[in-house]
Amino acid sequence: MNHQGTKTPRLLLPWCLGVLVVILPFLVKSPYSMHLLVMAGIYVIATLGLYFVVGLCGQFSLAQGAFFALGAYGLALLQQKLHFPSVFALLGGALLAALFGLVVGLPTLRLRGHYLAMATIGFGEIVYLTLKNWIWLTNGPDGLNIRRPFWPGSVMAYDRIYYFVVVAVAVAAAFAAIRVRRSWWGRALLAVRDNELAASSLGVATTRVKVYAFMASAFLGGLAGAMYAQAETYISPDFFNFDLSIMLVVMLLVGGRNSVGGAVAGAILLGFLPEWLRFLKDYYMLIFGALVTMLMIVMPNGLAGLWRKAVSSKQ
Amino acid sequence: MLCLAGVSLAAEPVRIGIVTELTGKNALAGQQARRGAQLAVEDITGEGGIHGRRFEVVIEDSASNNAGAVNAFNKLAARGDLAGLIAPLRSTQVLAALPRINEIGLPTITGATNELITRLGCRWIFRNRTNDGLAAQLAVVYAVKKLGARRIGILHDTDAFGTGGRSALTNALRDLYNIEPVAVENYNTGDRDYTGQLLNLRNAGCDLVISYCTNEPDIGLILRRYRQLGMPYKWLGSPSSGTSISLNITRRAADGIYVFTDFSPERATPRGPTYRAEFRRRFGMDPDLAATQIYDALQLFAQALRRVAGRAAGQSASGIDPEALRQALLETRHVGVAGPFYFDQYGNGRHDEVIATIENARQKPLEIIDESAIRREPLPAGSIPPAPPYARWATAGQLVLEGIALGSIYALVALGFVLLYNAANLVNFAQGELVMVAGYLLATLATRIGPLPGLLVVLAVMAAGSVVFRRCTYDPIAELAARDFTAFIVTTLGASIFLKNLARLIWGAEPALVDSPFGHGSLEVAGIFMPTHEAGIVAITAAALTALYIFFQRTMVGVRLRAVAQDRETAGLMGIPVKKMIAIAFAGAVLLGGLGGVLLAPVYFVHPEVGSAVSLKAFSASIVGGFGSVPGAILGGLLLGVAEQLAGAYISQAFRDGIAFVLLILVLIFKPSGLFGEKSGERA
Repeated sequence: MNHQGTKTPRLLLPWCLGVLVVILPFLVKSPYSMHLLVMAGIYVIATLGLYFVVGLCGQFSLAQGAFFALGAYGLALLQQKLHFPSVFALLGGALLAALFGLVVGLPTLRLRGHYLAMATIGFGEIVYLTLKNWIWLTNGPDGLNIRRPFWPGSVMAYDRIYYFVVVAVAVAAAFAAIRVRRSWWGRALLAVRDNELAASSLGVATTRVKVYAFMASAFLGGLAGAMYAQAETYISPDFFNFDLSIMLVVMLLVGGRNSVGGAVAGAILLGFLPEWLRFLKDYYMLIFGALVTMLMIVMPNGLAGLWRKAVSSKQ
Repeated sequence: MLCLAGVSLAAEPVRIGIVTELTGKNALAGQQARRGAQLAVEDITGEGGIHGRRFEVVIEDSASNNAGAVNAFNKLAARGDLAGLIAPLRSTQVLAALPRINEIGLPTITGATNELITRLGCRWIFRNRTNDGLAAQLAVVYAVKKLGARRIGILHDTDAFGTGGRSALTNALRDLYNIEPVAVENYNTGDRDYTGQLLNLRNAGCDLVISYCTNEPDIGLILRRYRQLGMPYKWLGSPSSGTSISLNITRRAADGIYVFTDFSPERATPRGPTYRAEFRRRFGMDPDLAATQIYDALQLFAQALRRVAGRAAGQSASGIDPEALRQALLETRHVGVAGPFYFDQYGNGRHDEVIATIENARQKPLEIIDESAIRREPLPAGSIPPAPPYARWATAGQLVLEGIALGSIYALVALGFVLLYNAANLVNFAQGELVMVAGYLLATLATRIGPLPGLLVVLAVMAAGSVVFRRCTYDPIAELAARDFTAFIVTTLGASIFLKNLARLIWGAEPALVDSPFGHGSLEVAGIFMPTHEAGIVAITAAALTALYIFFQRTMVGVRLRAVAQDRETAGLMGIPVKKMIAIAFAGAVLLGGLGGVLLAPVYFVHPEVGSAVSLKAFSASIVGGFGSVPGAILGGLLLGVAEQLAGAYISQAFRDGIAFVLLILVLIFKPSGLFGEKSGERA
């Protein structure tokens, strides 16, 4: 940290990335790639949420897809049934997800490891079935169309503006995650992760800090879901299935669960991977599966782990 | 300059963009669609293309889901060189993509039948099939007028197609005859068991059931069960009940049912015979709905294009003015392979249905009915006969039996989880895919060497395969896994995705059928029907559990395994080779999963997703019973199997899978050690 020599490149890199993030939407030509950029930003937000539970707190949650869904449907229903303005509906969707995070977290976070993983799968399944079958509320499998908050005249222009909204939220979420990690709460979470018994003997209210982490995770998951709804302008239950939860967890693990930068990198990489590997066609998912297994073997700490290794070996 | 532009324009092909399901759960339909498109392109080219311009298609994948469909349309939109589009067959995907289709502003033909699609104000969408509203009216007319049905029940999928069909049927019954369905039952796509619904329909005293089922594997199993249970009502099914895929599943079980469909493979149309002969010659199979819908859609486009291709195209890069093409489509009259087409103001292009029956596992068209048959003729009050009485206890008994058979399979798979968990504190997220692979292996072998020898070979292969599985998912991370339980979850999640897609590549998306060594009949005792295969499941499970008990109690290896489960470190210090024991546990877990798979295969057939559902349930069952406990896994499995059946029949079929998880979460909260287990909630 105190090395004068390493300070310059360390500052240079974020600036370059920042400039790239700003000019990227003006480099892409097709509406399709533009939309992918928006989606990648949305995945970043959801994965950052997961970072609170899995990364900081060491709990394995497979419910992030469900919170994503709650945020999306929360926004849609607040808009359509209660006529909330877009911004409030967006926040409302995220808060609804956080509320569910509290309701689910309170009883289940006493569980650990595989048990919690299973309970979160169960929760996700129940949310999915409800979205599908409560047709009076959610319009069931036909899904809901979402009003765009503004309309600049073309899909491309809309996505380009919305991209900056997503990036702003993602950057804010990343900074929040970094701040939290350095706060008392963050240290308490890490203590719970490393040894729950020791943490509680040191006066950490373990269940309470875990529930807060779960709520923060649900809030960001819900926010991402609500933004997905506005970006996609259409939602239906089949997107929010178990595979989405798995995808978000894998994004975090590939990036490196112990690092905010890793969460961001993992989400971007896996957000684009299906497109880059589209030439593989039928073989894509096969190779994706093999990659997931291999990544865990070759780099258990994800991209962030590789990066740290590369930096430390340079010094 | 103008002349040059004309020449280069003439050299430029006319392109139609197609969005279909090349990957994902409906990949089979996408494959057929691609074949239909291929034949259409060749035929249109053979007829001289579009005024000398070549005719081409560009296919994009919807990955069988809504977001994928929207993405695919975005991609096609970005090309800018297309003259028209073909949207997927699934209503839910088309509804999702409709705003995009509207923005793109090109004439788009779809085969999706949900009525809403052409009613939402999108002027670019055309449909070359009979919509659900009309189809339901025609089905109801046939049921009431020709089959004399009065107590009509409805069975539908909970997806967009099924729920749309349910409302259309209910509305048609009310509007035309002023009657209500006497029972409405539903299921979620891919549910594997339909006994509760079929019994409820009988108990409501239905004399005929109209089904709206999206996927062939579902309706295939429903009809098979309908026969095994000896249900007394007649059956009138939506198109999927009469396709070659579902008839291949049901074999003779579907004989005698009626099908209403806008696509009958045997329908005599001018183009039909040559098209079918060519399709068979090229691809070695009969063309289905997906192939024929695309073929007809492209022919419709070609007809309309030929009329506008010469005209000025305005700004369009494709050289075809979208507005002119739209107008030309509206004016097109064409008799395709599936039947006659003409578009009304909403873009609906088909206006008739074929009523067929099934004879010797083939569709036999009975008659064609069209709009002219629809008349409002309210039935007088009291024309609905009362429901015959039924025995409540027989229904409950049937459900419990069914639950025990299904629960036996949960128990076997759950034991696989417990074995690995006890030996090495691992939870295998690919357990379900081992079940699936075993099922596929049996499907492949059973037809060649018979079901029973096939079963033995599969178990041997699975035992050997367990070594590969362990080397790939556990050995490289063994040290890490001891500290961090997520490591093995991730490697097995990867393995699960890998195996599912490997199966899809090797065996295709079509569900593989397996003949049971116990046959597909059923034994009737006092009004309760027990399918012979399910009796076999219970017997084999009982035998396997006894063998396992003897293994654990009476053999050295079994005792050592139990020692490792109790305390790995101490067991190691006592000279028990822990690594070897873990290897044996892997073999055991894979074998138990495999046994579950081979027993499951003949009842529920095999497809790439079959394992995930079973393994999630089995894992829940083992937690409900008490994770880590052998009797807990068995009792938990049986309990869950029975609970699901009863809850499904008496509470809600649509939420049946959710009920299993509610049970799970309740147990986790109030008795984390499980109903039958020792306290182990703290172990993780």
